[in-house]
Amino acid sequence: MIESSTREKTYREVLVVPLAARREALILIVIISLIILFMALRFSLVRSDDSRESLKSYQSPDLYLKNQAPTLYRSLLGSVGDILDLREESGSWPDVVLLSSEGVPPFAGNFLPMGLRGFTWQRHAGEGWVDYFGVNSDIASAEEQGADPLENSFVLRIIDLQSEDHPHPHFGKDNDPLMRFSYQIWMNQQVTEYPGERLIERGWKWVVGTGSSQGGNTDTVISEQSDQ
Amino acid sequence: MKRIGFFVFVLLTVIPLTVLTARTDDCNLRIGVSLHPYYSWVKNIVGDTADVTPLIPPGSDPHTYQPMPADLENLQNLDVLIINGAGHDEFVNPMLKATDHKNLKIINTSQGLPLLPSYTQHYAFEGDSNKVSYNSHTYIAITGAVQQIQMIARELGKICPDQARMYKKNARAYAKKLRNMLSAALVKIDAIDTNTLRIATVHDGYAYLFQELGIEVAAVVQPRHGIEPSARQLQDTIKRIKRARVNILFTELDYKKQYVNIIFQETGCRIYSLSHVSKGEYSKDFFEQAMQKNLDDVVQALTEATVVKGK
Repeated sequence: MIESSTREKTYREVLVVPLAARREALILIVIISLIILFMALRFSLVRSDDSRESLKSYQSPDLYLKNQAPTLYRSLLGSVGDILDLREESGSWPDVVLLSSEGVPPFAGNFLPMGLRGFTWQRHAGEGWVDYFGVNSDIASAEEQGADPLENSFVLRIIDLQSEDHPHPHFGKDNDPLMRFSYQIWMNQQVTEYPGERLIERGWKWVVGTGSSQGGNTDTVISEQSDQ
Repeated sequence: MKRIGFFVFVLLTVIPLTVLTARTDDCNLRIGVSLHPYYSWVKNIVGDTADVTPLIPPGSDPHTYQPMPADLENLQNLDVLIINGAGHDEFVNPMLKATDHKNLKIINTSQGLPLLPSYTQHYAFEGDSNKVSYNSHTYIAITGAVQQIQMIARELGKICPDQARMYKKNARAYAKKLRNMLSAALVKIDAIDTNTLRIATVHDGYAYLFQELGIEVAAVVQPRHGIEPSARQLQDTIKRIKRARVNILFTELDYKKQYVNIIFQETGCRIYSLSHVSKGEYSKDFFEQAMQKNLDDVVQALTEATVVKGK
């Protein structure tokens, strides 16, 4: 009896509370948040440059062009410099005959592979813009006989951003003091008549660059320089 | 009276000349180029009105080039730098970082250029990755070159507005010359029935060239140029040539003859070399000459292969 009472006196009941975890938990949450933030930041920085996600419904990446259409597309892009130079010389948008005689492809067909020489081109000039409309009737007849549909009609549109009345949409801002011209290439799989100003409503697709170095197509805007 | 007349004459002739000279001197650009073709293009655009300097020595490979201290000094003295921008001159990036030349105007020749995809999977053992990168050989073609030349002329014209007209005029004349080379080759290719031919290249550097010639490439049989193939890679190359039933294989100028012989013995396909247009002495005519040779060699290859098939 005596032993047990001594024991009761020796061992007192002490409530040991665990160490406060609030601080550790807080630090852990901060670290996890920082890791998540870093990962998100890293993902946004290194994610693919594929801009297809940000394309509008009426835009189509140039990588989707089939067969020999990329060659025609390149050729049209390469003709813009010549067209602007000739406009600067004569004061008006050059017509197809002049472009052909100056040896500017695709208007001069002998600079293209045989499969692309069936295009016929027309110029449709507005006040502050011009369309070069090309249609390939040769391929159309092959399609009628069962061949896969290809890109058969193209429009190269060059817009003077300083002009009051011009079609939209386009890259660059209207009346931008630093930029003068914006150019774009539209395509249609069908053989069609010239669609006029409203290409989107007629089902045409605007071909846009998706190459890794293309920087959102700001490059399809040309500065004032050409008129100075 | 005579004195006054003389004085007026001096004013009217000497002063405008002085102003003109001063303006020209102001715009005596120092332009650096990262690759051979850009040297030729810029020389043809600016003529003698600017100093054009290559960043790397003539015999160096831009893929493996390690910049030297003297190169950084050279870069520091430039006003403008012309680069590929699609991955063919990666050596430039550390140089730019090291010099931190804030006033340097960089012209990226791939800006605004439609790029072709370049598939990284070339060998069976490389796995199933279909990751797409972009083909950086934008300069081995005439159509793309013309677009880039025009863009360079425009950008240089922005820096030197007084010379912008001359730059554009020169660029147009040069573009005409290059386009005529392409046209002449196309006329010859028109006469050949290419439908029966199967063409392969050792790497996809010639994709832009074959596209503008309207020639389909059936296979690319080696992943990257400048790499000596191992026995396994060579075996895989041979397999791919056989599988694709290739008649003509286009290799590079410096592709070793021993590999050419092995491939020929094993597959029977005819082998021709094309220039990568990025080695040799820098000159105004380098690009034209290299491309003319490439065009001639393609025409010759197609002609000979068609004759053999016809026999």
